[in-house]
Amino acid sequence: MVIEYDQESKVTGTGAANYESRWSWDKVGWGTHCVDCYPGNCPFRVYVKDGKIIREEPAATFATVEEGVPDFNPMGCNKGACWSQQLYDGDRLLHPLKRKGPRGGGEWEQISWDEALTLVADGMLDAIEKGGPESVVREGTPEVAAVIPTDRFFNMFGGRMLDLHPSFNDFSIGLHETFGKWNPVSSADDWFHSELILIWHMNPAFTRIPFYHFMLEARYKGAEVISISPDLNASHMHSDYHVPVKTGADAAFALAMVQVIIEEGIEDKTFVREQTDLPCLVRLDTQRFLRQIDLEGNVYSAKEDQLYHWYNGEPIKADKGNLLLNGKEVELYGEFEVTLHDGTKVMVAPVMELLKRHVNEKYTPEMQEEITSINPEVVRMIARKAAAKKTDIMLGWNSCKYYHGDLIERAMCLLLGVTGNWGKAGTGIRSWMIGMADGMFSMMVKTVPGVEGAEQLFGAQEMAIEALRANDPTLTTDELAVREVARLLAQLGPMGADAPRLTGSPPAFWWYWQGGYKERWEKFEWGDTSLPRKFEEYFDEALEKGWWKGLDGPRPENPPHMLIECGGNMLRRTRGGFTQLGSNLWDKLDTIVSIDFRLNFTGLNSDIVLPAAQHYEKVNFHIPTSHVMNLTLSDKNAEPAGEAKAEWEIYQLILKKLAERAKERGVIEYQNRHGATFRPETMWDDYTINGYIAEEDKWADEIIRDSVYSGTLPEKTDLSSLRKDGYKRFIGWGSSPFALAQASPIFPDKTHTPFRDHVERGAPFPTYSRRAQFYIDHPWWIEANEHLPVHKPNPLAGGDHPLRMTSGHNRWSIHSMNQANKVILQTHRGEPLVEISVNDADERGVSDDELITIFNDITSFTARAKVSPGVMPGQIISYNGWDGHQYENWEGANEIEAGMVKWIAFAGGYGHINYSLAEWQPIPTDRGVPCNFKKTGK
Amino acid sequence: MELKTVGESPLNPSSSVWSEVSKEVIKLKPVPVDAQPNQYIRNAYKDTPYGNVGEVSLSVAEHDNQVFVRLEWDDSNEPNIEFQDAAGVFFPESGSSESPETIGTKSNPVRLWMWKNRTELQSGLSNSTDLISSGPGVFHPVEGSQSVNAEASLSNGKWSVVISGGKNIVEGSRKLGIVVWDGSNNERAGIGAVSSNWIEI
Amino acid sequence: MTITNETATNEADKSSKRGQVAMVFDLNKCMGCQTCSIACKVLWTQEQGEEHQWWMTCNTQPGKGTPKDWEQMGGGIIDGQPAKGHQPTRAEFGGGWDFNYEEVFYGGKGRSTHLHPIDKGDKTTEWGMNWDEDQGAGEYPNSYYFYLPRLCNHCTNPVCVTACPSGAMYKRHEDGVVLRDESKCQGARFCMEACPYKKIYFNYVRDVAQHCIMCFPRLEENVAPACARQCPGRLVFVGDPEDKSGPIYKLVNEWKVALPLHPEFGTEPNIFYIPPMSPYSLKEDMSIDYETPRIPPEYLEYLFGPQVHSALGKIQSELKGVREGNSSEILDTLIVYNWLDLFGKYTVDPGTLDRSPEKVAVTLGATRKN
Ligand code: SF4
Ligand code: SF4
Repeated sequence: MVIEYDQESKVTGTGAANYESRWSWDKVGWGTHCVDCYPGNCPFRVYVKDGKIIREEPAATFATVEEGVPDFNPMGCNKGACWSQQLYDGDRLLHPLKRKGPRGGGEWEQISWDEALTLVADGMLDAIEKGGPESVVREGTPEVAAVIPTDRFFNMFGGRMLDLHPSFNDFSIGLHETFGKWNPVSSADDWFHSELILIWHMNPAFTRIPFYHFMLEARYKGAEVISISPDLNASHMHSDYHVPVKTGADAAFALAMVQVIIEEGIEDKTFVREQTDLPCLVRLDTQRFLRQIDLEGNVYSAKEDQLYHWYNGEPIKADKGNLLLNGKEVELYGEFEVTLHDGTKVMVAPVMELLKRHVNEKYTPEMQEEITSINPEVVRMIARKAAAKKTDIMLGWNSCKYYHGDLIERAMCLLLGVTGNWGKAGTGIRSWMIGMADGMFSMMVKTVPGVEGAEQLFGAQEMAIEALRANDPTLTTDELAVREVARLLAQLGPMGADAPRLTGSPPAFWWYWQGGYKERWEKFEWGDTSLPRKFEEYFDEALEKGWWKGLDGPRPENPPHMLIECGGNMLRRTRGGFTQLGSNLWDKLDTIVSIDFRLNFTGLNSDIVLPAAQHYEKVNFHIPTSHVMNLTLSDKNAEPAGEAKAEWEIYQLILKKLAERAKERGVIEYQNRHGATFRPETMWDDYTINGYIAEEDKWADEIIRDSVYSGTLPEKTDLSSLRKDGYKRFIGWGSSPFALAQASPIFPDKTHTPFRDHVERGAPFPTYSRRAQFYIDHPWWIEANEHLPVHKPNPLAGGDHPLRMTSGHNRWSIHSMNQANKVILQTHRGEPLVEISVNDADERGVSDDELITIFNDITSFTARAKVSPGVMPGQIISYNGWDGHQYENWEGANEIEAGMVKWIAFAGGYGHINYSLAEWQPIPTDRGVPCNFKKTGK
Repeated sequence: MELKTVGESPLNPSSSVWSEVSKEVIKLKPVPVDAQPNQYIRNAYKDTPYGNVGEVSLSVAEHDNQVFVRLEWDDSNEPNIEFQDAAGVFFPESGSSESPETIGTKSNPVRLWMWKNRTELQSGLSNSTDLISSGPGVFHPVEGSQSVNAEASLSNGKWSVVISGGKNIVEGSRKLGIVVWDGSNNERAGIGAVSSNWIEI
Repeated sequence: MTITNETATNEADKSSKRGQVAMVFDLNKCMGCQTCSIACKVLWTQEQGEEHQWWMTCNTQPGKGTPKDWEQMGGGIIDGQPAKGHQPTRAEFGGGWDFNYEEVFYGGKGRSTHLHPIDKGDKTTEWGMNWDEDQGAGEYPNSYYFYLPRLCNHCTNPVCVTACPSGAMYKRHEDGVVLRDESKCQGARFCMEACPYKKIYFNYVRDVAQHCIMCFPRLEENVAPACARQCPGRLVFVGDPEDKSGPIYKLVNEWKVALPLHPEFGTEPNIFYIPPMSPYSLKEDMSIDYETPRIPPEYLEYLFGPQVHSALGKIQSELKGVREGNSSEILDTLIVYNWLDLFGKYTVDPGTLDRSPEKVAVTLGATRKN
């Protein structure tokens, strides 16, 4: 067939002129999405026309890192592609607001900045007078340009900062229990080196949009991809196998693979011997490790944490300073007799022997089938593949939100441990990490400008390390030493410096004492009912033993009076939501301030709302991470819309107003509970180092320069060089424990694989045993039967109901950030929905898009039903991120979450089982919520 | 029909002036499917009934060098959000002997004054256009022309529409054709009802 | 027979061969993220009357897609003849919602209201561009779905152009982009009826139809279209399908692993797809069923025609090959080691261009004769 309808070249009519001019701009700058989009770091170009930001597009200027590995271009995602659309739209805040009528009534008075600042300053002074500066509290966000100004501000006046990590609940607790750190993170391109990818408790098609391609490209290179998840989430389709393990049954599945590997003798023995505690000897009489004090008695030279291997017919010390055995084949199996210092003879066995008995007894593939529903042959097949191939477990932060998520993660790590799958390109497991831009940490506390100030801070750490090493020469790596410093400092305060002036705490105690969670967590039948003791007994013991000394506030007698939520959305995020926090906490607070670029659910329920600049309207950085290995800039591309201001400026204005109001109210100085003195008059000077960093550009530049000083960025990197390129690749880990946790060199031309140092150089792990630790002989673990990884059923937190609500990050929004973006809302149904299975829908006579009420013993919420064949019968999926006010009656899915914490997380006093900032601590859980649903109104 | 000169502009269809002017009922027929301008439309509409409006009542008047054409027809159909009711009057070039039923041809285009009922969304658009038509739906706007105006009202299931334009257009051939589109039947372009004979004025 | 645009008003000099720009989407890398859709939306359809327009969309298959049930709407060229089609309605597209931000945030109504699309009584809140996202088909645990990104196919036989009575539509001679001169469009919408892919939208404010313009202003600057360049899945090849050294020619013509969607629609699309693989299905006892593909082959054939079996077979055997240690040129091509290799000659970084409104206006005046 011949078709003739061509028209003259490029004559495109008035329509064309219209489109030509739509694609025009007068300025291009850098931008990225610096909120809690993690790992993100996508460099975008931001296009500006007539002083307004009109659109953005990934810059896509990355060079190849490693020859033969796909480059990182273009990065970006659906949210990033319309970030600009929220600048001038429905939920954008343009003016300071003051509540009229009751909280959450939706009535506001637009006020001037001066009025707003006065209200905030007076609120602070009232609180300080009533309950000291610690009664002003922040929860917050990790967004760099929000959290640094906020924390520096709180440092100035002595407010209480809650450790952020548990609030957003992404602490991979089982990784921490195993490795003494939760944050090994390979660069995303390292995935390309994998031969077997287990997508497990992760949904990268939703949550790793810029990087997911590396998995699929690895597949095209020969890797097999296995998706392990009850439902057919969006990542199932590009997998070779979908393994629908029942909700929360993953530990059994992993342990059965371990059983197969041990039974078939295909474990990586050299790796197991060097990297793990599996060859460490355990006393069969006490179930505790064989220790030096057992053999030598309680003498000064005998170390409590010196463990043993069995070699050549006798126990030999397990080296704490280096893991390499240089071919020494310490025993993995068998039972041996040792003579203790008092002459008693006891039997000991390597952990591996105990593990073998344990999995043979409880987790053969046949036994696991009952728990997981997975056919035993499937278990065997995957186990054999894992033993033979470079295996990468793509873990998200889903497992850690299960009550027994630590057990799931420990079992996953164990699978990698017995198959030799970490520290080599294309292997491992991941959580998240921050660090590298050390200037971000120094900026929170810095008091002296420039290099001198950096020297002071980083030098102090050096000195502390030296002192520790003198005492313990087995602290052979910086990582070990820095962690030790961090753990010691944690006892003093969250930032570790100038302790009496700072008040920080893990939020568990805040929730427990001030948020009404005491009552919930103590509900025995909502927790692990196999325990011999009640929650309160463990809790009391933890406090008695001093494991949380100085960290266990604010106690009931020190109630908070003011909350400043900057960039965060506490009411949306908190497990239990308003049902839990409303009467317990919210009503107690005299003043609630929300600082944000958008009116979120927390803002909607606040008293004073201050409009902040959005990420394209201020100088900002993305949270740096080894996923991407770059420091990524987001610049001020246009003046903030309306009257909005950057947080850095907002806090300066508050401090100035605070000084003014304090003077007017006759407050010259005040003290915190430690007796440290604060003088409002000098706070702005201190905040800005006498004006040195008052300007936004100067502040950002100082962060970069300090990061150069600490060796993480190349010489000469500064704000202006970053403005040229948009991002800069890191060259060193610097000095934060989160970054040093990578334990691997940074190569300019190789993907980043964490744990190389452990494997290649025998660097010890920062655990009690200095090894990847699968046997935890802390008395609580033994008492709970969790000293080896086990499967335990998800507790019935919320009552005995037939369905299990699971969750995860959705595709459309980073938490609630983009959930009201009009463009994004059009890409789904524009309203909260839950996905339900065909069976469950049929049983209850519910059809697609009908309103249903999901309920349990706590309360209920209403959402649209999305009937999806890929949902496991018995499962309800409520992807999170919907803001409270998107639901009927402002009751979202988090209202029916109990937010239980596992008692074990209150433990301490055992090597890595000790609090330090953003590390070991209790975290509320919210997965596998027991519930049911019915048609709304029925 | 007589082109009567009236004393004031009768653009408003309910203007009292129209009571002075005589009316004539004009029969309309669907635009022939064979005359449709392309194979797609010929294929797609050969079995689709269209041309719902069977007759209109026509009056014409002249004022201040403008010609006013008033059309009135029954329309009790539910409006359709996709297509709007519309009507047009068209004028051949003088000497053309072709039938009006194709609304012009390639070789003998006609001048089409068209009124389209505008929706709320289209409040920014004019309800009338000055077009050259060289076949059913083969309409091309007369660039820059602003000489066509229209007013319309719908009451009691009856459209009354007045379309006006310059007298100079009419003067050549002194005849006109009528086309009416029933929006509720997805009528537009060549899918409509047309007068099968020229009406002399 | 020769199908022409019988009412074209502006004929090209056809002494040279018509050019064509084509695309290949690798469905085995698409994650349904909608970045392509949004990239397009933000760039092109932000004005009044364009709220519901998504020239680029990605839908879950099997599904009703956008507009709802579009595959059942007819059109195309069947047996050499343009076939009758249904014009998708505003309600069938759905979407384009407004939200009650004001009411929720500032209306003083507290919990008695919540944020939702405003129902204007026109049924547009009952469907949207991605309404049946991730639903798919099949019976658990053997349910299945995959993503299908779609845009105007810039067909070699653009039946929309055939159907346009007002001569507004045409296919650009130099690159085959199908465009519409909006100053000539009379809003008759026969193009929407005739297009079997239902990829033309109607602007109810301006009374003209609109559709994907293949980012022609970008193509003219050698910048890849926004959907392709912003796709984080790195899976959209753009280029000249006749360039024998280019990936599109190889994937489509040489290796025959990329296929047009619904070839039976007869318009000869220039958008091609690598058909999707899927995980093995499970037997009753939850063991692996290596024999029964999860996505029924008939369904794939329905979408991509009978060629799909050999195309899919080829991808699968190449995959088997690399797992056995062989190398595969096809799979290496699909890996796209260097991202820019996706885009043929369209590799310019738009951030380096000067496109100030003034300059664009001047350029327009100089080279176009509107
Ligand atoms: S939101 Fe995050 S992932 Fe998406 S484009 Fe921005 S930085 Fe990248
Ligand atoms: S942007 Fe790419 S991966 Fe995302 S939906 Fe579009 S084609 Fe698929």
